[in-house]
Amino acid sequence: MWIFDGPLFWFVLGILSCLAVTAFRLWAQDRRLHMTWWKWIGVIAWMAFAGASLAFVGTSLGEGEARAAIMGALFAGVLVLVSGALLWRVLQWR
Amino acid sequence: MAGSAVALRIKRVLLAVLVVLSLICAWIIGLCRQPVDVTPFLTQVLSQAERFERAEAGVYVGYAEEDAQAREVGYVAMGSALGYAGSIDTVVGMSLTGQIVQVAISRQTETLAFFQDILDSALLESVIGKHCTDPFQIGHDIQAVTGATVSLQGLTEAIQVACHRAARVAKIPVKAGVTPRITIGFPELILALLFGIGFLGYARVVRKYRRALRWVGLGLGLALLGIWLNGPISLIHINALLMGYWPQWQSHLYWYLLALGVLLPIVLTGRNVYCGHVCPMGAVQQALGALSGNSIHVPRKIHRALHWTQRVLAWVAVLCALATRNPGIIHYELSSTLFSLNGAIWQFSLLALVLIASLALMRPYCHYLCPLRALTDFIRLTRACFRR
Repeated sequence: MWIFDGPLFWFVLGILSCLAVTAFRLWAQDRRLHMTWWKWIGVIAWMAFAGASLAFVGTSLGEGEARAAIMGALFAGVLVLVSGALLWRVLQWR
Repeated sequence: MAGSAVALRIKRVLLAVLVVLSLICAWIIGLCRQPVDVTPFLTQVLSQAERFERAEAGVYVGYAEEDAQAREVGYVAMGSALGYAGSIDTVVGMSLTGQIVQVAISRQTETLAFFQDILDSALLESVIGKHCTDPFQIGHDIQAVTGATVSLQGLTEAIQVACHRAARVAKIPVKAGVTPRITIGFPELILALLFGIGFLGYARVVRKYRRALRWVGLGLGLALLGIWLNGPISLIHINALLMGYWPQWQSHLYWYLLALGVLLPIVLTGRNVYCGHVCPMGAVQQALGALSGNSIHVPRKIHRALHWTQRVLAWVAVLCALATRNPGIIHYELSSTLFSLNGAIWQFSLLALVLIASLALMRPYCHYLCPLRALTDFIRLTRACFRR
């Protein structure tokens, strides 16, 4: 697909990433989460991991590797959710 | 009040009797099944023979016609041995001098994913040309296959048994089978340690440390029994026991320790040491639950419905296994998928679902799917029938 080949894709992805981080900051404020620098590192690492997992599934499907996409989705999906649950517990620390 | 207690007791007894009767019927059906017809395998493993004559039980002599005279060209023998999930039956073609010409598997009931690893390793091709007096030792003259050791042992033994049978008819001297040595290694010691921790967890003296002991047991169970040994108990083990596939205790001490360690405490005391303190699959779920602080409460009606589904599923799995003489015919346990990362897509999908559900529910696999839990429930039910 043409959109994934050009610089426009990365431009849109950059805007979406900024939006995601801003949305998270506002959400954390609403929830009265006490955010420290190391918690931010955790959040950004988790977002990158979730994004990379999604990219793996999308790329595998694009390459016609349905089995790899399914297995990737299962493995990475579970890991993303489990690490998300762990992160959520960490974010609640005061 | 007393009337309802009596009615409940009658219901329990009836249920236990019905389950036992159904299992006995399935067991008899399984025994009455026709054995596999080996005729097609005879020409497959000794293609130069035109006709076969039975020399003794399980051994045939192959003949080729030459100038209107029958000439012996080799032997075909059947051999069986126990694998991971029941008997592995082989048909072996042997030359007059004692070399293996061809090997075929006439029947096996191993877990497909693991047995495929053996077939992919070209073991059957590698034994062609071996002599019937060779030792057939894994790691020496037979190449090992990681993750399928028990199945490989069974297959190798079955081939050797067939070879020795043919050698007897061919009058080739072979070493008589030696009694296996008792092997007590790390796996057996670890298992004893884990069950010891489990028993200790129920002792009154350590009431204060019960929770800590439970976590120690589960942690060790996960690390050693799950990740390192990949040897938790499975319904296949129980089915194999019920069918009479009892391997030699000297070489399968781990297998017996595991089966006895799981079943004996429940039968004798009604306490389930394995699930609470040893099971690696339970440990994973418990850890995920602790991680997320799972708090969703399943409504009582749904809980009961799912619990009964689990029991019926386990009952069907055992019935089918007994009726078909195949311990692993219905295999939906997830521990092998988790710890060996080997399985079908549906198993991985189910595993993913269970792991995600563990974040919200308390041990969902143990409560709603694990056949071992259903088995322990049944043993408890039977115990309750016998108790006053």
